[in-house]
Amino acid sequence: MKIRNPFLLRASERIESDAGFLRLYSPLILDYFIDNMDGGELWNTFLFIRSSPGAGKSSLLRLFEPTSLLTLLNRKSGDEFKEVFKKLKKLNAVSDDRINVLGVNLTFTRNYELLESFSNLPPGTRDRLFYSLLNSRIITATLRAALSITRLRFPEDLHKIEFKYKDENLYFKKINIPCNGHELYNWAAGIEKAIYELLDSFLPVNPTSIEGHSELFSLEALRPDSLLVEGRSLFDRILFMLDDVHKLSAKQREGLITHLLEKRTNASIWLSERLEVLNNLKTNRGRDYEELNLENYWKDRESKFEKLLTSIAVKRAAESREDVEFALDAQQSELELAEVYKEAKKTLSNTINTLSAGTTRFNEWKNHLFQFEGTDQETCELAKQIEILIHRNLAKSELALDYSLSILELQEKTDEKVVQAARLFLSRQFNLPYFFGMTVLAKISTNNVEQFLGFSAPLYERMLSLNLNQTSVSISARDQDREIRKLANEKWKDLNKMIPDSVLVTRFLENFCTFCINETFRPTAPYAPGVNGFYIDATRTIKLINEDEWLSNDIFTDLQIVLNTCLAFNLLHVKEVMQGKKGQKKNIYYLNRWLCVKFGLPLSYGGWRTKKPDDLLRWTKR
Amino acid sequence: MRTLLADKLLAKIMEWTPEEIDRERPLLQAMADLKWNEYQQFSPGTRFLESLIKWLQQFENLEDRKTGYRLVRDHLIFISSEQLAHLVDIIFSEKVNPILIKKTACEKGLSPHLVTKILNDNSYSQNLRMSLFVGLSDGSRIDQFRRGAFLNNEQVIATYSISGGKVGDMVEKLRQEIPDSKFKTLFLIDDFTASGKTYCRADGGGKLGKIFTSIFEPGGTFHPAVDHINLEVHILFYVATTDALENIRQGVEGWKKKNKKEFSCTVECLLPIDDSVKMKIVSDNELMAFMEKYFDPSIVDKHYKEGKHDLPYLGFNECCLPIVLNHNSPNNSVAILWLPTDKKYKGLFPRISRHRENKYED
Repeated sequence: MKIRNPFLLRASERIESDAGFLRLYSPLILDYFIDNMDGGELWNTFLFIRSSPGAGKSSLLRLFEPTSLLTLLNRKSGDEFKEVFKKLKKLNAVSDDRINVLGVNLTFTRNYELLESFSNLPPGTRDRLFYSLLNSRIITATLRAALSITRLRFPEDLHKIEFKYKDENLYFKKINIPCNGHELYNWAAGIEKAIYELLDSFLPVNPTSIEGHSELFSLEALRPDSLLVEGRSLFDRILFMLDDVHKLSAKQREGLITHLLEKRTNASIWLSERLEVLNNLKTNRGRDYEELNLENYWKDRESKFEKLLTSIAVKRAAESREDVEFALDAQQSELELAEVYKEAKKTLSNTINTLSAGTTRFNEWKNHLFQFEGTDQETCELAKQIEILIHRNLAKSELALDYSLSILELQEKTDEKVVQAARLFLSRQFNLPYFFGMTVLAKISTNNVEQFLGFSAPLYERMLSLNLNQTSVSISARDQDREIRKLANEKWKDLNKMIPDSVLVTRFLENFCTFCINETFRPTAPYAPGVNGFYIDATRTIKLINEDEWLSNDIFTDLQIVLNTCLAFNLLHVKEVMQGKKGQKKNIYYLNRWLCVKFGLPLSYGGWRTKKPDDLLRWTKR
Repeated sequence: MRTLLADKLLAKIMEWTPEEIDRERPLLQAMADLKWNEYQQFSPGTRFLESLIKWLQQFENLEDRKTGYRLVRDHLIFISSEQLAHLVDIIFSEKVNPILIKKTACEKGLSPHLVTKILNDNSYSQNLRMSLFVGLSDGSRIDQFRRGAFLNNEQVIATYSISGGKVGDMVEKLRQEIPDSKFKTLFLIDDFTASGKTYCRADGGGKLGKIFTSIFEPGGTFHPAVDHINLEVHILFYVATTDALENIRQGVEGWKKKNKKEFSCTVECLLPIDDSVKMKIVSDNELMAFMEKYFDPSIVDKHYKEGKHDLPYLGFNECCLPIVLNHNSPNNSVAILWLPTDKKYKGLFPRISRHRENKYED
């Protein structure tokens, strides 16, 4: 059923119908897998899928679930589904007449963590219970998936599954293998039930009565050739998708990952988790496993991400019952802003004249400006660029020869960064729209689809309202800017409700952003177009406080908390840059772009300052 | 498409800016979808939005339309079928069972917190069986109540106006389970009361007056079925104003005093509505003037006059409630919300009256 504003639909978990989900899903992320396919790195590997909330992890996993693939197979000729089908076919997940991959999705919940709270149980026992629970759930999930993909009924048709695994390692102690699906299910469900009783009981339960497992053998035992449905092997591979791994305790998570890496099973295993720990930054990619950090993937492919968002916007708008396209004006409305630019022109001219009084150095530049035949907007932009360059020139400490700088020199000094800085300064000084257009909205989304939907929902609501009023549905640049800033302010206010340690975090961000504003809007625009990130320089200094290993130093606890929270909730994100000595990489912490909107900072990357941990720690204080 | 046309018309008559449309439309659509559309007295083909447009269009100018809209947006309390069903589902565990547990605890000399012990005691089962549940109107949803509470059919009746024969059957069935017994506890259940004025009159009028008379007067329908000496009466409402509860309590005391009868009687409700709802409206001069302006005095009939009616536009007995129930609007609500369709001004949720005018009365 069509709804008024489909941009309000969030999170794949909440789109109930598979067809609805597939209709709205944009499969550009599958290009990552297609690119990796040639290297044979897609299947039979261990892949980490990481991101902050809303980047599309669960949607990606849902795509490979049996019901999604079945729906897709049934509708592969439909226009809305062709693109997804084509890409999945390239991955060998589907072919024209069958599904090749059995996707088994197991979402971790916090009740695994509960096992850790049984302090009276020895750690070894807790580990065994953990693996038992995990094995039983993987087995039951796989049986369900197998029936689903073959359109059989669960649990009535479990007996139609044959489990023919050769149990050479004697993993299956209390059940005779081979067996049918019904027997296997009962065995697994029995283990799960016994562990639930342990978790739910107020009284002590003897854990020795529960069958414990020392390893995760289910991933090895469940293979396409060992799981037959009605006597046939119906899929080429099984893809185990373990979602929300961050919900395990730290010990469980580490144990599970270590175990999986050591086991080196040939199974295809995808682990999906949120970025919740600073130590995630130290992963060893490529050597033991692959990692797909969704935000990092899009960070390096800005135009592709914009294409993804445009595709999502088109699909979502098509689901609206009001037949309104998602259209963002990428130009300022010159008529609307005519008066503003007129006034701005006068002001800027006076400023330049005042600045350059007492020297003839800038006469040619001034003449160029006064003879400029562009629109008022273009003239103002040029004036601002000249103003910045004049400030830079005047700020130079060496004695300058008082000769007139040429137009050529003006053009040489006016690089893209100065142009961007000038636009930003202009918008701030004269209250002109700055945040508008699809490209800017894509940047503000900071590589997160849900963030894009969060900003586009009210914009689409406005388009619907304009359509109702029978005016043009194109929102003016000024209105876009206003709505986007309003939303950023609302998100800022909501931080108190959304994140832990909000007082500490917001204080840090406010102090940091104040610093960024001060640095950005210096008249010389030294870090054009502006500062919105920092690098932590933890090299030893002469100071008394040892700033080495600040990650583990108790003095920096507040800073650790702030950075962990900011990373987990996507308030800061990390971008790797090559700078300094050859091959030296630096992790730059950038503000989420909606914070840049809130504080009126530019959206570009590249503007960052080096800070000591001690400096950053001070920002957590008043 | 029709919704879109309605939205366009609404935006036009309210002269909303795009910002106002952004704000109001999602809210209206959400509330309409959630509950306002389910109002049972809309004419065929009409849903909330259409009714709202027709309602707003009858006001003379934009200012009045904005005031009317404000009344709906900021004050309306619509109790949906689902919400009422929820109240029906929980009234047994929230109100009835605690009464029975307390009663049993008292009889057995147990502390009321020993719930499991009490529930397992035979006395509790007997007390439950010797309870009679009576619906005071069709809104009481006594059938749903009975099913939800797993009650015996022989102890639940949908109306207080039943035959002596039926009552006799019920007592006979009771005595088959508990020899020589009668109903000791009476639960009288209704959905909503706003004034409570007409529930119990000392002269035996009103629903409760009639029931008490029937219980205590020899020859009354309930007289042989009820244990007069140990009788407990509990009057329960799903929704009620605090004023109404107090009026009913006073009415019951008045009846007891006049008829020289003594029995335990409580009056309770699940969802009390206090004075603040009325005061918010009454303290708004603009709203008061608006309601006075758009009022049809022809609705003040003899039934209406039974309550206070100096400011009749505030609803029956000047209750001034902004309440609408999914099946009908109570006449205690502000008149502009419920005026019937044949009046000078039409209500947003037009009401069907319980008391039909007799055209042939002088």
